[in-house]
Amino acid sequence: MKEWIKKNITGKKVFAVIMGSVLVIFLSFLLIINYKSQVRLQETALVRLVHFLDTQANAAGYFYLERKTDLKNISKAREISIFFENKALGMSMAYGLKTSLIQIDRLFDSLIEERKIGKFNIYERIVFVDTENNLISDRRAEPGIHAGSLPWKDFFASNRPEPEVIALRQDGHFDILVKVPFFFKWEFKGQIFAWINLEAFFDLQMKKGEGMTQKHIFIDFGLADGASFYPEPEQLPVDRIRKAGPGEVFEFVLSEPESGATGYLAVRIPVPETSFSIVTVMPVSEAAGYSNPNHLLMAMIILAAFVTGAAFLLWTMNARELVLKTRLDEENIRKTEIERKNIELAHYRENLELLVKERTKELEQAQKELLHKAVEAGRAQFSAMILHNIGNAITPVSVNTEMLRKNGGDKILQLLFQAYDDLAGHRNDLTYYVTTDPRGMEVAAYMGSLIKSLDGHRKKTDAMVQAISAGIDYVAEILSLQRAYAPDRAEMKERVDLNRVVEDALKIQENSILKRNICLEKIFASGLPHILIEKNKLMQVIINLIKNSFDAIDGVDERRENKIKVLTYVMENRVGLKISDTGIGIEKDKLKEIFEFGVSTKGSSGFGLYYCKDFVAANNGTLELESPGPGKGAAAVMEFLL
Amino acid sequence: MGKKTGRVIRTAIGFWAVFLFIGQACGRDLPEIKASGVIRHLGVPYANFITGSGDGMDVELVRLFAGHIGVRYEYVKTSWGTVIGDLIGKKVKVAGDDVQIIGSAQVKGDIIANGFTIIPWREKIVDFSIPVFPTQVWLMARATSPVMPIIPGGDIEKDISIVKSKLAGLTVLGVANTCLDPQLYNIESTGAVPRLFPGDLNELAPAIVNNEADATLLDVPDALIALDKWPGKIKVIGPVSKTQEMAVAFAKDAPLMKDEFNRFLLKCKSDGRYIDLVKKYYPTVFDYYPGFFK
Repeated sequence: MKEWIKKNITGKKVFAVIMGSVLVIFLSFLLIINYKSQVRLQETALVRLVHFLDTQANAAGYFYLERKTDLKNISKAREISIFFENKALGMSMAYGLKTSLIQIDRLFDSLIEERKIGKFNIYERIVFVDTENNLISDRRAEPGIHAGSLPWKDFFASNRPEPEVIALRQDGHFDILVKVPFFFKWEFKGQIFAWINLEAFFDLQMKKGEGMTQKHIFIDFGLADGASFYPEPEQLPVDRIRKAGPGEVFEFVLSEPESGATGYLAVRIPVPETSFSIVTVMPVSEAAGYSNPNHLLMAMIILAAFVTGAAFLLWTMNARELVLKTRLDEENIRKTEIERKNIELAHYRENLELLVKERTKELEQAQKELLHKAVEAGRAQFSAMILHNIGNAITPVSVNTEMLRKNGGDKILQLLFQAYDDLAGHRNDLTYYVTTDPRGMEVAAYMGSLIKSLDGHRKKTDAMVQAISAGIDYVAEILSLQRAYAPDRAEMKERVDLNRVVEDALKIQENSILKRNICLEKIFASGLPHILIEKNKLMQVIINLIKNSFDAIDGVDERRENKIKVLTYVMENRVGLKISDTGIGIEKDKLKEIFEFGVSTKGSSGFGLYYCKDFVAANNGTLELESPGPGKGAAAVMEFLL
Repeated sequence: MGKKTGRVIRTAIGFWAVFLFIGQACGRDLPEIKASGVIRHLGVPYANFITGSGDGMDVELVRLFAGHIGVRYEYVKTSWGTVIGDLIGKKVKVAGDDVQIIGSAQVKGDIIANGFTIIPWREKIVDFSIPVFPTQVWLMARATSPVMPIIPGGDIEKDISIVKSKLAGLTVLGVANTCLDPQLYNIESTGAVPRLFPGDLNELAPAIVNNEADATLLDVPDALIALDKWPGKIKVIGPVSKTQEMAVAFAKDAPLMKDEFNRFLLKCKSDGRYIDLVKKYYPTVFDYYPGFFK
């Protein structure tokens, strides 16, 4: 035993047991307190309910007391006495007695009109019935109300001189009456009945209610047949309610179709001055709260058992191992999660690399296409330029050729031959014919003018042939330039004389320059070192730059001398070309931007300068634009490193 | 001054005196009243027709009439004995149903309205409007009187007869020259001792209560008030007359006034003002004479 105790009972375990016990005791204490509070609250709620009903009953009692007072005062009213006085004197209705009746009517009308609860008349009908069952006076709050008659004599109470409150059930509805006997000179002469407005009374009860709804309060009018509750309830243990003592709270169960068996509370409080009672019936849960104290006790026992069991488990298990095991499990779970996430990341990374490769390929392809388009655009532009120049050259050739065809030389020759034939016909007297014969002299003179015309015609023809020849030479030159700069599929770099290429470019642009009246200044440096480059692409770049210059000149509105200056130079380790113009100029902040892809000041695709710069940069060169500002011209400066 | 001149002067004076006399003796008709801007209401304080406090059913009715014709209202207090002379400018003497002119008087008013019953001799010297109020003359006795009220038989003639049969030896008060004049109902012939009361009609009931006589004649409006004032002290024995009517009286030379008043009264009856006045002053009369108010 001692060893077992030594082995199993450690300080910590003892501490755990003590703490567990304390916890159980504390929880039990809380639950007991809660239980007692619940019980107390429910008792208080019921006491309040009874007190409330008491107040209601007293209010109702006071209401009826006032009604009794009203009728008592009426029964002592002079008007009724006068009637009986006059009647006692023998007066007849025809001669004077009726006047007294009218006064009684007015008395009753006045009471009906004066007594109100809110907008409701308290009295609905007041009658005076004499001992012979005659209705001496019958006054109503509204015509036709309480139209029925009563067996008046059954309600005479000459032996009970004080007013009484009674309830009747007639034709399925309740009538509440206050009645009082009338005595004239101590002799019973009749009964006064006053009907109470039940709705007005009930409305008064509800107004005085503290949050009670109409569904909870009933009035038991104390009728013998049991059906004397107002409002009429669906099902109530009436006998049980009536047997309960005043203020006694009792419970009963009702089966309801929707909610099944439901527990109810009922309390009955008698109404003073009457034989009525006020009854309240409500579900237990509404009156006493939704929690049953016994349920709390059960909860307490279960909780205590749970805590005790937990304490026992703690006693038997090694908490440290448990904690470590729990931590280990957590770590394993975390590690698995991390590995899973790493795998996901790796997959994601691979996918990302693939995606990047694909996108890069797509971008490169797009760039190639765009470059190809730009090159094709440049070529197309170059070809269009050549064709335009050829067209310009061919046009004068065609015109001159046509003029040659129509020049009329044949006609002069024909006339000359006619003149010769005429002279030949006068071979024998030719001298006499041409010096003396008038016709001969005319023919000789005519022949002279024909010869002069023929000479003039010959000179004209020479000029035309020369122009045709020049045109043909020009076309040949153009075509040779085209061949020289024709794009090759596998274009190779070669050593190129920049001056030569610039000169050829200007040649190609010659017509455009002439047409614009541009003054062209060429300053070519001699002995320029050759540069290793693709010749035809270089040509396209230079043509593009020259074209930009005269496009810029085209944009100038004012009349001034248009100039393009073309300068080649060598500087240290660089060969350069500068093309400057007197065109519209460029804003300073756009000088760099204009080289960006897609940017154009001319509404074109914007490839030109971008690819020019790209080509130059690819060949160890630079291409920049300079401009003092808008309206002040610009210059393109291209340099290549040697 | 010559004879002739004197004669002329005398004639002129005589002419103007006669003119003034006639003027004094003549009542005013509607045009004159409108021109003067005032209507003079001759009234004797009586029951709730003229209460003496400035109101009453007839006071309000004549005020309304004054407004109707656009003139000012003026109340002129008179007495039962002089009221007719004050209207027609003549002193009269009544003998049964006959009346004699015995002198002249100053005209003080244009209209009589104070519960003025239509009786034969009055009709001979004044013109009445259409009836304004129903009435009847009852015999009233002290409550302790041995004379008992009759039990109505449904026949007014019989009821009157029964009442008169109970009068023998009783002193019965009445007021001369009014609807309560015992002569009008042949009280003396019943064996009763008629006595003419010198005071107001309103004082008849208290006179009985004070044992100044055994019974009195009283018309219904006054009787209803008396029953209310002295309950248990007086009692109604029964009728001495058939149902009578009260109306407003005009001088015979004021037909326009009468016609205009009749038009006015019919309008009041149709628009409800008349009924309102009756309800105000005699609320119980509807039960006694419902036929009159239909």
